[in-house]
Amino acid sequence: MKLFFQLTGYELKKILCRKRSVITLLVVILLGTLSVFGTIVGNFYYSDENGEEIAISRYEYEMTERRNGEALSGRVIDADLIMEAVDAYRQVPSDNVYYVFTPEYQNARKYSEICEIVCWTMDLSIDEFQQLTREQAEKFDQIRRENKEYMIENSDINMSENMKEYWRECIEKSPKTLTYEYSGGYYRYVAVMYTTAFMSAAAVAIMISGIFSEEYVSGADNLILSSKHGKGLVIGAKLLAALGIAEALIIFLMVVSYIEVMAVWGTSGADATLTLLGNIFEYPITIGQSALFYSICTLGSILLFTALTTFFSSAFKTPFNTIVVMAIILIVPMFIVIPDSAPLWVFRLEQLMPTNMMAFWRAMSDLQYEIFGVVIPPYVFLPVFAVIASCVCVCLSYRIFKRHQVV
Amino acid sequence: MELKIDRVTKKYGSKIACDRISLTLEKGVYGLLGANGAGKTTLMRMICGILDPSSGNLSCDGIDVSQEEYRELLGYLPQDFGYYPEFTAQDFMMYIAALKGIPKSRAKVKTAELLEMVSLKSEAKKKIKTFSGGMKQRLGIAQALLNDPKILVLDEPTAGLDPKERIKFRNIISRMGADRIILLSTHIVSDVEHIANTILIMKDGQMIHEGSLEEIIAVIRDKVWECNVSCKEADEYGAKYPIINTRNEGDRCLLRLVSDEKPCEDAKNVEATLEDLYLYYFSGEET
Repeated sequence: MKLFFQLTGYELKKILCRKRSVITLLVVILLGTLSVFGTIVGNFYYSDENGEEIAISRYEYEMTERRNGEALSGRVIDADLIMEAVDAYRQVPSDNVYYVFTPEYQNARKYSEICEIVCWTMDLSIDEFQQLTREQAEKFDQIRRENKEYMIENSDINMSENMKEYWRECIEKSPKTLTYEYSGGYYRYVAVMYTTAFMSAAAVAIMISGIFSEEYVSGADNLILSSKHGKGLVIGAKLLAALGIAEALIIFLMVVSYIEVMAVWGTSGADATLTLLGNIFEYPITIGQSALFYSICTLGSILLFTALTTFFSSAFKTPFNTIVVMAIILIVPMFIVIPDSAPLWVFRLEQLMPTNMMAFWRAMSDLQYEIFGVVIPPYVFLPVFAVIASCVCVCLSYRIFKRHQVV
Repeated sequence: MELKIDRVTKKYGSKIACDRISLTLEKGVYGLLGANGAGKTTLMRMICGILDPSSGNLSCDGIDVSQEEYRELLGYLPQDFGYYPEFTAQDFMMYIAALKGIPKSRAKVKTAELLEMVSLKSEAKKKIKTFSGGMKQRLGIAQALLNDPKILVLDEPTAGLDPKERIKFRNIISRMGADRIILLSTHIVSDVEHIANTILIMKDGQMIHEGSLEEIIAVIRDKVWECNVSCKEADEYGAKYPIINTRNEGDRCLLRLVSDEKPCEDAKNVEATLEDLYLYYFSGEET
């Protein structure tokens, strides 16, 4: 075992000795740790009625949103709260193009998230929201339920009966009223992690592409494969080094991003319902749990992406080929548009691409998997699939390098 | 200890790189000679278990070359061995030692000892990318010896070394041959001549000769001639006989050639060397 870790250390050294790896790693760490602050750096600019430009710092704007959100946290979104918001929005002067500077707007802003949730649920424009009556507001929970029931029957994907049944049970189990919680921290976390995971995957392709193929190119395969542990232990060490460095990178960026977003936007909202993040379908998990499941999906996607990289690295003769193929695997799924008429398995398959696994909405989507009639939500299925598929890729990489012929 | 090569063939499509080669190697130094493309490196790779034969078997005392047990006995210096430019010589040796399963404490001692042997002790902490070709070759020799191998396969071990270093390694290899199997391939015929107990000659994938220096040379004994001819005649002789060497001496040329009969009146029969034999076989080929 000691020898195995010694060999793993050398494999890590080989990866980190390459200039391209060091540069890539530094760039990704720098961008990954700073990207969180992208939305709070700089200013918004508005022109006031005198034509003068007024700068409002993005940070101040976000902090005001946070204070407003936290002030409403814990309140049930019922007719009282909705009408409070409607009243506040009604006060905003509609004939003033510079309304953002009015105290009425500043007061209405406190309810901006309530306004957004209600408009989105009840399919209202901002003008319609301002005209909302108490009678209509009282139907908010009923409309919410009807929306879910409608979506079960009219989803973009052809849900199976098992899936429909699963959702009906979820609707029955979910609370009848919606309680507002400010969840800005979690909202930013899942948004920023997609970019971070994408960058990490690109870094993995560059750093790991040579794990096997560079041995072929340099001629070190002669020495490795003719040595005692060259067809066994060292291959395991290579795979551990590749998977270890990739997972360490994403975990590091995940932890840093989490700390950063929570420091800026606060930790509240962990116990709130997933609906507050914009999901129509409510899985029986909280926002905090969904963030955890999503993080696991991201770890799974990076694991699978790395395993695929090791596979192509063992199969191709040069690292360049591996980088090209991995770039295609990373980028192309973002541009694939599947027609609604496509069978369910096509959508399911598309969701299994590592790039798609990195998106929060995919992990929490209504597109579930079924095994022997058991419905498995994507946030459970995706990481399990990633682990199984990674094991297959890793075994294939092992076999290919072991059987590599030096010619 | 006996390394048995039994009717080994390696084909690449329709090209036969090694053709039904059978050999039994016991302790001693074996010199493998042959032109480029003769199949030497292919044979060595198969002996090292990094290339599977199309047919035939290779084993040492019953242990197949594909086994870990066999690789434990093996030391290999490939023709173009890969190194890690950012590694120091010490790191590289320690890495290879780990690959060979040598415990760290022993690897350190062995590394120091071997780097000293190949005159790289003072360069141990320097990155390999700063090394000259000869230094890299010396490092390659050192790594092959790390596990004190019982079977040592050296593909062009002295390529890139200066004459002094070459002779030094020749002597080291010769000494080591007493208690292990050493197979070395080289184009430097004199190296083989000096240290090989058995000489193997390959041509077009086949083992055409195997034996001691005396036995091998017997093929052309009494067939090597030196004749002093005009430079004009030299061309005619070149077309007729395998010319081993031509030396200009004013308007005359001293030819060393191989012929079954006396090629000219004043031809002088000279003692055959391994180089004569090598050139006799491979004079028409790229070497």
